[in-house]
Amino acid sequence: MVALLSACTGAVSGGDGGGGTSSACTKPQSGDAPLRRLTTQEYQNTVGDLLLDPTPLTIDFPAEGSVHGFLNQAAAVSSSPLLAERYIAAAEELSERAVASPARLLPCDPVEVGAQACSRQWIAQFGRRVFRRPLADDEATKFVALFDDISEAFGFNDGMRAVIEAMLLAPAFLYRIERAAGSGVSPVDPWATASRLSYLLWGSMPDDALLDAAAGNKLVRPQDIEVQAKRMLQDARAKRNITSFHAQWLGLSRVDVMQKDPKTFTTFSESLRPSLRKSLEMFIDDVFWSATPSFEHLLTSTVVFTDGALAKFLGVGSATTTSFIRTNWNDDRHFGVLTHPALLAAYSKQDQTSPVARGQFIREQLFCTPAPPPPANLQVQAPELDSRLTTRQRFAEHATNPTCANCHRLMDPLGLGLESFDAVGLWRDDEAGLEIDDTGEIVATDVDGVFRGPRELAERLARSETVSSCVVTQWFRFAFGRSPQDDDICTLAFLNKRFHEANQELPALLLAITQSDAFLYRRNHE
Amino acid sequence: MSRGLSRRTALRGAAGAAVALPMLDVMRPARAAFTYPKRLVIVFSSCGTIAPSWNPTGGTTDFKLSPILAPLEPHRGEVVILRGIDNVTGKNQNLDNQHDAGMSHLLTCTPLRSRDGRNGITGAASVDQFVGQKLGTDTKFRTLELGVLANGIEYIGLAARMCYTASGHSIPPENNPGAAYDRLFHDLGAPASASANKLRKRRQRVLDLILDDYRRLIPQLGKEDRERVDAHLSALAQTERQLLESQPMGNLSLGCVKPTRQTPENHNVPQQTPDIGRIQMDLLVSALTCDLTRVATLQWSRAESDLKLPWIGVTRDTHHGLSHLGDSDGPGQSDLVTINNWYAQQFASLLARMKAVKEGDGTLLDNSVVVWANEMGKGNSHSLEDVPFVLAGKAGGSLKTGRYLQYSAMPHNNLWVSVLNALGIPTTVYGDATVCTGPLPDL
Repeated sequence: MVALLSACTGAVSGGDGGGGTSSACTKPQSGDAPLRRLTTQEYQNTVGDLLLDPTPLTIDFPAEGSVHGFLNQAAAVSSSPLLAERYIAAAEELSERAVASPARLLPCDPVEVGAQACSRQWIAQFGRRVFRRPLADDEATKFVALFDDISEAFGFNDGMRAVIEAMLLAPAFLYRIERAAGSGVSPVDPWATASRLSYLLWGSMPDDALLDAAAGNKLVRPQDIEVQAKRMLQDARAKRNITSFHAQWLGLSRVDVMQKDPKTFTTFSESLRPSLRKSLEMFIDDVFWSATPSFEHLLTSTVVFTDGALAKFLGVGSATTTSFIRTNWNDDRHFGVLTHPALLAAYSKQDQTSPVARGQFIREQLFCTPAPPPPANLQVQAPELDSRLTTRQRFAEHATNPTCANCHRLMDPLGLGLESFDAVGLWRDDEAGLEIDDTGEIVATDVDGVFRGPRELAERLARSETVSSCVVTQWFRFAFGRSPQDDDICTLAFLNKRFHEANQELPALLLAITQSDAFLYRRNHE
Repeated sequence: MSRGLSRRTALRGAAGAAVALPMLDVMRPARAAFTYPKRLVIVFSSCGTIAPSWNPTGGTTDFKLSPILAPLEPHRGEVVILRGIDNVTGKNQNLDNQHDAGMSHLLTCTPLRSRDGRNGITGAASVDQFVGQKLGTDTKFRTLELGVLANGIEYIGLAARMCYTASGHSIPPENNPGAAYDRLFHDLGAPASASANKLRKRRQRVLDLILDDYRRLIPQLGKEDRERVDAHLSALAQTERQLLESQPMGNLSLGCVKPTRQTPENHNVPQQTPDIGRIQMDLLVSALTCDLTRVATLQWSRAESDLKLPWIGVTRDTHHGLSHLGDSDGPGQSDLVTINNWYAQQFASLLARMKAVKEGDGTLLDNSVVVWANEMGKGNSHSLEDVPFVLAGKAGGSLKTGRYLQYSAMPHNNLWVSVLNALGIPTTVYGDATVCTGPLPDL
């Protein structure tokens, strides 16, 4: 077996430090701000708000690339003829729905004020909402000409359809275009700020109040921006988007498709998967919107949400209800997200746990220090399932073989600390007739050392500066569609400081993002 | 465009129904001058093969098919089995993950332009897109990309895509046979109507307006952003023709029959793979027969396939998982042979369908080049050497089939050069010119 040790010297790619001295951060700085496009989810949310109709589209968009688990990263944006076709099909489906009841969208009555006059009013008003800024004069002229041509030939409604379709296909709608003023670092213009706020907090378009604030120059000073951000956090759309952030961060799409061996796990069924996912999302919701919305709480809260099916499966909550209820584990075993069955099952195989997958998940998504990838030509012989051995024993070679250990010592010992939870996320006291050993070890972090079981692991992670900075980095990625660069050091320092001052409360971090250099400024390039 | 009376005129009949009219003399092009167009079809399956069970034995024409290739026996006169072809540019890319390298280089043979984790932008269009630009000027669709769970259970950028535009962006295959059918056949033969006319006019105006929007935006952006939006513009421009034409174009004889719309129970369920594949292959052949396209690709799962195949008794692990078992794991090797044999059966059944379509004195297969490709040579060593390739079809007479050709360390650029030449696109180089050394000798 040939292995390339150079790929795995144990030197892990560093997390983003909280460095950046105050003297170096007097002038605003920002990394490159790449052009962003609406994700499939954002598109659906936006058109729902735009056309006042939340009915899902019947059109499927092609799968999106993810980077670090997030679907909204600029680097993964790609265009294909199929996607272009789908955009067109979606625009036509939406325009058809819209003109089924045009009065909902029209600010005037075409019969009363005349079709022409009303169309102009509507185009200006609708255009501002679609493009998230007022139409320029030449734009308005173009859309008016389009409306006139089509309505003359085929009637008012078709004229509307043409305008709606053209607007929904335009770059000003699909892309979040930010006007650049020269080169270097400049403030983000108020209209772009409105979009930044709405897509960060709602995953959707600005509402009229936010657009009006932009128009009235009330989105320039950081304190005014914060007022809007706080208002927006009260909206149900914020709840939906924050759930979406956590689902992407934790990789919960795995739960939707995970398959488990029915012979080994007789109580598990695929119909449990949506409930498992929803239970974890409700848990995160519960922490985020509580009076103690700290990251530590996310790791230590013992609340759990169950419906009837989950209650039967997990042995907690009430098996007679159909809807979800909030209850408590009331055992000494379950603490926070890390021990939620959905997460543990998602990072397991079909018939066995996976200390490697669980360990890599913690390293990558919670420490932001992933272990390097395996050597390119590695011949792996995964250990056979052996009913006489525990998982720890079967994976022993990862620790004893120096070729493997260099990298695997970063992952396996983390995952092995969760061995009390089987591949469907249920607690077990033994495996292969042997008592579970859930000793683990953290290495190459600021909280190194041996730990015993999930409670200690959770406490260690809650204490770790590396993890805390990683939480900041993950929100940065989600907010800005890119990873932090050198020019973002001051932003990161600011965010880490605010996060600490707020006792690591997550809503405070979200608000702090809207006050940071990277949010208020952009770097333009020629 | 077409000469004489177009097929558009011929197919107008009762709404939606295929119309079989006698061929009028004024419509039939002069017999002597008429040649059927050449087609390119590429079929993908993943994770390399098991060489001892794939390599034929014997010589160039008297070869004996292997356990994996046995299903090709009825077509041995139509195939060319190629041994010793390497994905050299993929190797040279030096990526962490050889599945990503193999897949993104399979049809491009060119270094990536950029990469971020397991996503990336290729350095050139894939060969199917290139051929589509040349052969597809008269067809409604330049190319057709179909898939069978081609995102895998988990979608992973470069590993999931073998087709790329000229701007290096991936082209997603259509995994939903119902949606593919609607794209291809929904409007076929539909009579001209006021509403269809209205839609077309509106679409034209809308597209004109937004294409202009994109063109005007591009110069205002920074370099990287410009490329992104330019890719979007190109994608839009390409869809224009499909959307504004509701009739098939071209001048094949009336072999086109609008197929019935078939859908599997659920195109997202792995266990439905055989049924989904069957329907997609039917669609692919119908699309070629109706000259809706001349270039079609069919992707089974993706590189690093996370598909399990219980319908052939393989339940131990996913295709990818199995491909990483050691050479000495007998049952594992046996499972992999079973899997590859099954894909050979699917390939054979595609060839059979193409043989069944008469084109003049020959068949659709006779006028095509069909390539069965893989992103890897050997799964457990991640080797990009000895990647299994099988060609089929005579390319309208340009290819000599019924042979087993053995090469050594032959860059796969050369294979595509040969394929392009067979399709009537003369060239001496494809992809990275520092690697390519011209067409495959003897092919």
